[in-house]
Formats: sequence, structure tokens, C-alpha cells
Amino acid sequence: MVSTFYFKLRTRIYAGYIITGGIALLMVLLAYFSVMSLFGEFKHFTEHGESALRGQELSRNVVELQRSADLFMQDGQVSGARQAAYISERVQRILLQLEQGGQPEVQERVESIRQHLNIYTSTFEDVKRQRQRRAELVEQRIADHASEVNRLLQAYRRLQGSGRAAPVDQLAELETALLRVEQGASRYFYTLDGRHITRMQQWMRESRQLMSGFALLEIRPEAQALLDAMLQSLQNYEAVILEAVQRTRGYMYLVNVVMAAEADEMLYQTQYLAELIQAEMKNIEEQAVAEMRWTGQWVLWICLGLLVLVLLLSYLIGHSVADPIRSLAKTFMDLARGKDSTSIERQDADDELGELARAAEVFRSKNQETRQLLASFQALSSELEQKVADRTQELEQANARLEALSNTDSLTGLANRRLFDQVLEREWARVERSGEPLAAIMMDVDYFKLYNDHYGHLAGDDCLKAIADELQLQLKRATDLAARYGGEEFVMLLQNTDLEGALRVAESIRQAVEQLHLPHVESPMGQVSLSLGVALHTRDCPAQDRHWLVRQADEALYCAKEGGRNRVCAWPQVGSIGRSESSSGRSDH
Amino acid sequence: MVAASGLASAGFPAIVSAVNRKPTIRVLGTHVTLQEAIRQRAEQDLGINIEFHPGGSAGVLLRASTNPQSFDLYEQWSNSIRILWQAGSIQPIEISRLKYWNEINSLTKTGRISPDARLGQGDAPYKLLYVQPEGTLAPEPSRHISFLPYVHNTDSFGYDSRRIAQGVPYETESWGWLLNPDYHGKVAIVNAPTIGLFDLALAVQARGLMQFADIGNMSRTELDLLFEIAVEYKRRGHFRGVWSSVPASVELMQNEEVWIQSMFSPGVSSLNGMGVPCVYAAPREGYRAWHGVMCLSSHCEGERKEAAYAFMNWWLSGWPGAFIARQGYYIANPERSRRFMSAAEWDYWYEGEPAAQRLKGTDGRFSVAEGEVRTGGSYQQRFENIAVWNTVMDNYEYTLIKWKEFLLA
Repeated sequence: MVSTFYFKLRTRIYAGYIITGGIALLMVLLAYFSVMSLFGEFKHFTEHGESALRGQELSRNVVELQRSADLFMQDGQVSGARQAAYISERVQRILLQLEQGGQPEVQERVESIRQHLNIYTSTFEDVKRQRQRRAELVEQRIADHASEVNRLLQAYRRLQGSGRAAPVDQLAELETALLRVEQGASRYFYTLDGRHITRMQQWMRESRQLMSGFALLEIRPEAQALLDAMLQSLQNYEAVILEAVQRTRGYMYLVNVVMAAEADEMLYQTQYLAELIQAEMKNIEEQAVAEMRWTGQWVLWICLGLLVLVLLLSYLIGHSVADPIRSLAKTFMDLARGKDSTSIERQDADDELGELARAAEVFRSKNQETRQLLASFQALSSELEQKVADRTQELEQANARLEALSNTDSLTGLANRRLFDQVLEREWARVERSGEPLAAIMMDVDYFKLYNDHYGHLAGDDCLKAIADELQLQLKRATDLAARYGGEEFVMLLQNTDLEGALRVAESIRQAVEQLHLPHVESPMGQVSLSLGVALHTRDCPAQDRHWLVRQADEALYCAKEGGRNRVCAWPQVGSIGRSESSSGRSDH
Repeated sequence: MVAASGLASAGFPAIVSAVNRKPTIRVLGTHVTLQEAIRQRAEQDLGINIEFHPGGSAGVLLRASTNPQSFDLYEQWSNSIRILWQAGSIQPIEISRLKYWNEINSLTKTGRISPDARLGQGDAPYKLLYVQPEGTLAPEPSRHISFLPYVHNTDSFGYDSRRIAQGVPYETESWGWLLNPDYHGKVAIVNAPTIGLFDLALAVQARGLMQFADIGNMSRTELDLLFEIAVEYKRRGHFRGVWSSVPASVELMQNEEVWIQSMFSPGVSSLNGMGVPCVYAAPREGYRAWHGVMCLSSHCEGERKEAAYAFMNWWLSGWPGAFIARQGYYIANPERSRRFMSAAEWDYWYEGEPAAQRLKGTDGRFSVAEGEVRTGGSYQQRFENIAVWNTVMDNYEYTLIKWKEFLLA
């Protein structure tokens, strides 16, 4: 019994449900938050997927930007410049998107790309200006200056007609030189070969020298003014050509070196950025997978932990409930079996089990009372039993006495000795009154002791019963009586029967028994046989005593025994005193 | 130059000099020499106002060649002289007004620092120095020069010795390394056809891929072949890219995006100061040399011209030479700068001796460890080994077109 569980059973069970419910809620919340966390990871991943796309878009746009700018720079297509400006804005937008929420390294790269883009776009603006300025110079201003110099030269030539300063061939030389200058310049702008400029400058110097030569010879003020103007114009002409050359070179430098390098760097950086984002994405993917795995494992472990907690709690609550109930059940079982010595725990507890324990205590005290009652009942009962035994003994004694008073032999069903005595006394008296003879036949089973020894007493009893039954059959008259005289001795009283008749009866009995063929191995006859002694009493007989007849019959029986058994002997002198031996017997048969 | 003057007045209002009585000179140039420390020191020493207008090589050259009104002095490299002179943007400088002319060594005057030195190909400064009576530039001495010789150096390539085993100067180190397939994707070139082109040409030649009749003045056929090779390498991804400024070159190697690249001396110093072991190679084929030029605008006159001469003389007065020596640059009259340097500095920077102690760069940070030896040896040894000078070739325009093909390959 865990001592800490002192709350009521109900409270404990409710608490168990509530805690289990709470844990289930916790697990649900945990699952919810882990799903949310996974969702967050997924979102993060998706966002980066977008930024990877932006990285690739950036690369494409930079290529597109350079292509558009090239279109403008090669053919002067205004649409190319517009397209470039539009793409540049788009690139700026993508950069801004990438910068927001990007890793520091990404932000660094974005900033670098932005710087290169700014240089690129500002250089492009410069290029546009240079291109326009150069076009203006090459297509317009150079021609203007060339025609201005030529105009002055023609004016000088016209003036020449009236003077004598410059020889005609030198004028032609100057014209050729100026033509070479023009050719040199245009060849440079066509071929972009710097040597044409060197040559152009040589022709320029030549022209200047020729003009200076003319000026030295010239004395006419108007011609001198014209030559001065020509020299000035030539200088301006050269300056314009050289500016155009520098603008061309500058323009080419910006396009071919500055912008190209910026474009190259931007391409490199955007590709690097795209790879960086890709790598970051891979990293995030791995991280997300790891986080998901971690979250999954974490949730699993927590759930397992909570499950173990629930099991432990259930086990403890179960035990805290089941143990005292089991203990109480055993107590009740004991009490039901009648024990009253069982000690009952928790009677002091302030819960349902305490109530049950107190109920058990009531049960126990009731048991004690019952036991005491039973003890007193048992005492009473044994007293009664003694009394019954005493009564039974008394009854048995009474029965024995009643048995003694009975007339029949219990084994054979023949009249017993007592009835025989009564009948003998009555018949003796009747002989006195009527004078009718009374015969008595005394019978004894031959070698019966040996029979009993050999076959047992029960067989002996059966033998006696069989003989008794034969005797019963031999009784021809209701007044005749056959009785068991004692042991294996029978006696028969025959009323109004003479000796002869009695001998006949006796012989008949002997034969009847012999006819029974009851085996008797110990007997010389091989079977059960009777020895019979016949006696007769008549009125004439002097005998005073009724027992006399019995003694006479006994004598005759003795005689038969002596004569070899299984025979009839008679005391022939009826009414005579003394012993006589009848001739009848075995010899008759 | 009507149109050009309009740009100039928009760019530089005269109000600056109106507020301040002192004359103001405007110096157009690159970050190599237009450094704030130099400006402040010059203002202090000269009592004039100096405006520095630094910019990218191309930008300043275009501005100078098309708008000489926008500057008084122009500081760049000798390879811009032809363009500027041709454009008439600069005026001859009178030798008689140069205080230290006689101290300037023979490198710029004759092309050889010593009698045995190789005469580098291309536009060696001496070829462009003297203004001839007919207005051309030639080596024949005259009373006028097209530029003041001052800062100069030899360039080569730098390599990260953590990635590339350190070679032996003048023996194993070669321009050919730039095209070594082992360094695929880790190579950068300076983005300038007058400079980077020679790095590529020297590399191609060193690997025996082609030979030039005159590497300082290539024909179109040679350029076609050179760029065919370079473009092939570029297409294969051999080059990380090009760089357009020293900080960009530093960043490339610092980020390990590049192991080997064209380099300028300050970039190498800067990387070593950061702990990146960048070795400045002494290629056995010789250096690509450059010479700083200080030019006078064709529109600089009067008070400003005086101030400009004063500034030119100040540059050769010793302190500036010592200052830029700490960035690895040389000055045309080294002896005058020697007194502004410690013995250890002189021995390290000019004599090619091991540093006797730790040496600081111009930024005040230690950039040279004790015992470190400058690659390439002494000043003299370096300038005896010049393969080619940075040059604007006759086919300059063609190289520009080819350069784009290379960049966008």
C-alpha cells in the first residue's frame, strides 16, 4: 500500500482521468506545435525556393540587360536603351526582394551587385551622352569646320586672283592636305585605327605650315585677315576632330572596358549568388529535414515519456485501488469462511475503502457472536445425544427381555423351548384327562459340530433351517408341535399318537432329511443325517413328571446315536418305567 | 572647345577662389597619388588651396582629354600622355622652372636606370618626355617636357603563398603562372587594356603560346591571336574576372576568390598588413613598368600656373617621395627623399635589403615584418628588368573592342 495515496478513491480515479486527459491534451498540443513547426520549415523552404528562382531570374536579366545595352551601343537603337533602363529597374527590384530576408552573405552579394549595377547604369547614361556628343561632333561639327576652312580657302583663292602671294601649286597642296585631313579623320572614325589620326595630324601640321607660309608672303590686310581666320578655323577644326577622337575613345572605353567589366562582374556575382542561394536552399533543406526528424523524434520521445507516465500513474492508481480491495476481499472471504481473528486494515482511512473496512469489522464482530452461539448449541446437542444413547440401551435391554418372552425360535421359525415346555405341560395334562397317548421324538443332527467346524456357523445355521423346514412339512396335524430344543437338537410332540405312529413319523423325518442330500464330508454318511429317539406317554404310565417323556426320548436318541446314527430308536414300553430298546430302527429299512 | 568649356564651368564654379584669397589648384587623377595626407601636407607646405578630384582611370582620362578647363594638374600614368598630348589638353612644362630637374634620374631621361638595364618595350616614358619643336614628343632632349616624372613602379602579379608555393624571384616566378591550369577559376586581371593586356600578353608569351614582334605595339593579327587564346581561357572559366580598383583586388584575394592576379604595390602591402601572405612576384620575363606623369592643363595660366609649378616642385622635394615609398612606389629623385626615411626604410624599400625592424605603411599600420625582404630586389634591379611599359598602342581602339570580347566571353 502506497502511503502517499491518501485521497479518496473517487478523487483518485477522477484525478487519474483528468491527468490522463491532460496528458492527451498535451500530446495533441505537442503534435499541433510540431506540425506548425514543420509547416514553418516548409514555408521557409518554399520562400527560399522563390529566392532561388529570383537568383536565376537575376542572371537572365543581367544577360538581357547587356544585350539590350549592346543593341543601343552598336546600332544606336533607342528601344535598346529603353529596354536596358527597364531591365535595370527590374534587376533593382529583384535585388531588393533578395535582400529582404536574405542571409548576410546574400545581402553582401546583393549589395555588391547593386554597386556594380549602379556603376553600370551610370556608365550607360554617360555612354548615351558620349554617343550623342560624338555623333554630333562626327556627323555635324567636323563637317561644319571642314566646310568653314574650305569656305575660307575658296575665299582666299578668289582673292588670290588679284594678288601674287601664294603660288597656285602650293594652294593645291593645301587643298590636298586639307582633303587628307578630312580623309584621315573619316578613316579613323570608320576604321578606329589610331594611325589615321597621327597622319591626320601630320596633314594638319602641313596645312598649318602652308598657311603660315602664305601669311608670311601676304601683305594685303584683307588677305592676312582671311589667313588668320583660316588658321583659327583650322585650329578649331583640329580641336573638334581631336575631341571627337577622344569622345570616341572615351565612349569605347566606357562600353568595352567599364561596362563590359561591370557586366562580367555582375554576371559572375549573380551566378555566384544563384549558387549561394542554391547552396543555402540545400542547407535549409537539410536543416529542415534534420529539424523535422528531430521534431519527430522529440515528439515520439515525449509521447513515449507521457505514455510511460500514464502507465505508471495507472499502475499506481490501480494498485492504490485494487490492493486494498483485494485485501478487503480476502478479509471478507476469511470472514465468510467464519474467521474472526482476521485483522482488518485501513479502518481509520477516510475513504470508501475505510468504509468497507469498517463494514468488514462489523462482519467480523457478527462472526464472533455467531461462533459463540454455535458453541452453546453444540454443548446442548451433545447432551441430547447422551440422552438418546441411554434411551437406546434401555430399549435394547427391553427388547432382549421381550425376546426371551417370545415362543418361536428366531433362526428356524419353529416353536422355541419355552413354547415346547408350555405345550408339553398342557398336553401332559390332557393325557391325564383324555388318556390319549402323547409321543415325543427327540432329534439330533449327526456330527453337527464337525459340520459347523467344516462349513462354518452360517452354513450350520442354513442346515438347521433346512431341517426345520422339513420338520414343518412333516407336521400333519395342527395339534402336533415341532420345536427347537436347543443347539442342533429338535423335538416333536405328537398328540394322540401311539408308538408305531410316532416311529413312522420319526422314520419319515429321517428319510426326509436324508432325501435332502445335504453334503457333510465329515460324516461317515457323507451327508447330513438325523438321529431320532421316540418316547411315548400314556395314562398308564407311572411317570409323574412331564420331563420324563423328554428324558425317555433323549434315552432313545442316545440309543440311536449309539446304534450308529441316522436311525430311529424307541423306548418301547409305553408307560413302563425303565429303559427299553425298540427293535425298530435302521434294520427296518 | 565651346561645348567643353560649358561642362567645365558647370563642374568647377570659380566661387571657391573668390572666398579664399589663396590660389586654388584643381588636381585630376587617381587614388594612387591623390591621397588626403598628401593634399593636406602640400597645402600646409605651400600655402595654397588644393582640390583633389580622384576618379577611375578611364573617367579622368576622358575628362582630361575632352575638358582641359576642368583641371590644372593631371596625375596619371605615362600611357595617357599620347592621348592627352594628341588631344591638346596639356601644355609643355618648362624645365627651367623645375627646381629638382637635375636630380631626376636617368630612367625617365634615357630609359635606362643603369647602362646594363633592359630597355623596356612599349611607351617608355623617355620616348614621350621631351616636346620637340614641331610639337611632337620624342626622346631627344629639349627645354620642354610633356610631363613631370615623379612616381613610378614596376608591376607584376601577386599570389597567395598559402595556395601557391613561393617561387624564386627572376628564376622560377613567371608571368606564365597566370595561365597555369592548376589555378583554374582563381585568376584575376586588372581591367585596363593598356595594362592588363600586357599581363595577358606576357603570360601567353611565357607559356610559349605565341610570340610578339613588338609586345609594346602589337599588330591586329597578333591581337586577334592573343585574344583568341585569352577568350578560350576565359570561356573555360580560368579567370575569376577582372578588377577595376586596388581595393577590389585586395578584396578578391582576401576573400580567397583569387589566388593569383595582376597587382599594384599598395594592394600587396594592404594584403600583407591584413595577414594575407601575398607575394609580389619578380617574373623572370621582366616587369610591366609604369610611370606616373604630372601634366599641366593647356588651360592653366597665371596664378594657378604658378601654384601648379610650386606643387610640382613640392612633389620632388623629398617628403612626398618618402611617403609614397612606404606604399612601395619610387620617386624620380630618390636621394632627396632618403633624408625623410629611416635607414631601415630606405634599405628595405630602395635597396631590397631585409627590414631591420618592423615598418609601417602610410596608414600607420605595420605592413612589413622584421627581416622581410622586398621581392624583386633593389630599385635598380627592378628597373633593370622591365619587359614592357604600360602603353597606349596604335591599335588602342582595336584592343578596346577585343577587351570586351574577352570580358564577355
